[in-house]
Amino acid sequence: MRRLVALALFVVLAGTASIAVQSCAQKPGKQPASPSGGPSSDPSPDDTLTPGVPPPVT
Amino acid sequence: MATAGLLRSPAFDGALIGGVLALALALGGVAFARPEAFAAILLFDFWLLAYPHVAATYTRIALDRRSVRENAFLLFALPPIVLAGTASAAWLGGAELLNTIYFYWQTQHYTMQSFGIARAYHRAASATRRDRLTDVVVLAFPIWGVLHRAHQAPAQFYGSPMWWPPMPRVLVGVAAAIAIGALALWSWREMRAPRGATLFVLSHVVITSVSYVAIPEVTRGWLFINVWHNAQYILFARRTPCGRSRRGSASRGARGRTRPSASRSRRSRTSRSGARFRASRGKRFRS
Repeated sequence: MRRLVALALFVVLAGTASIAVQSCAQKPGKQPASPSGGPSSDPSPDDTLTPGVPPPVT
Repeated sequence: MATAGLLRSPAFDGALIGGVLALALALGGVAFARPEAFAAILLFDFWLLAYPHVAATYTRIALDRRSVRENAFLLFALPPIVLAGTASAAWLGGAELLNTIYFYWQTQHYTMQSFGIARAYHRAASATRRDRLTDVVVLAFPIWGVLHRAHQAPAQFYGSPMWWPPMPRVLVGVAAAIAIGALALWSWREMRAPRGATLFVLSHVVITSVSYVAIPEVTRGWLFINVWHNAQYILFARRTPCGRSRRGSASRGARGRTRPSASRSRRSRTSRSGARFRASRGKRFRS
């Protein structure tokens, strides 16, 4: 069990370090596609929420 | 490590830590990989997790007359205040202000839930001293995540405009270094004496890093942590029974189950405190 926990700790530590390095390489303001598949600045009618309507607090 | 420091039992804690994390990663992952599935997964999240998670709050504050009296402000005064505040924010700042408040507030809310559960694990391990290193790890990752999103500054969150403070890249780097440095120190410590809290805090680190940093799009990233938070609360609320019976088992609920001998003595204290509570209730309602 202890070895498994140690392995999990190592994997998470390595994973977060890798995420940090990748995020540093990201350019600001360049957003990928929105959930509907279109660019986030141009939500399609398929978007789950109508633009202008705030999300329900969950 | 068999049951030491667990909140309830290996099965319950396994579901709370591993099950909830797996569910959030699976649903969020599908929505990320297949954007056309986002709406269906969001619907599932709302109806089976988010709304029941809100309802679960009421099972803790409004299930009997005494609970209603004790929580009168939360039940009767707070809702109109929140309604007035929300309406005023919408009137003054529109969707952008509401969206912005929502994003930062949900981050704080989810983080505080993790903070509270980590504390519950700490108490379940019969620890007396405050564990500040764990606190730093729990807080540092959401802070890094939010600063990263602010640096990205997406024009929209959830299909609505969103305001972000200007965020220099160097500040995000400093936040990342603090978070990962604290995680490294904490991992070194936990490796020598793993506890129930170890895996819980790891699950918090994983979901926060994925949701706020690894997933490049803010709304699809948010879905991961929203599923995690909702499912986690529903399970955590099951840990202590609701309303009247909750008070009878308050000592068990507050401290969790640790060692078998401790559990036995606690059960006996629980039944005594339950009897005292029932007696006091009897007096209260007769008078």
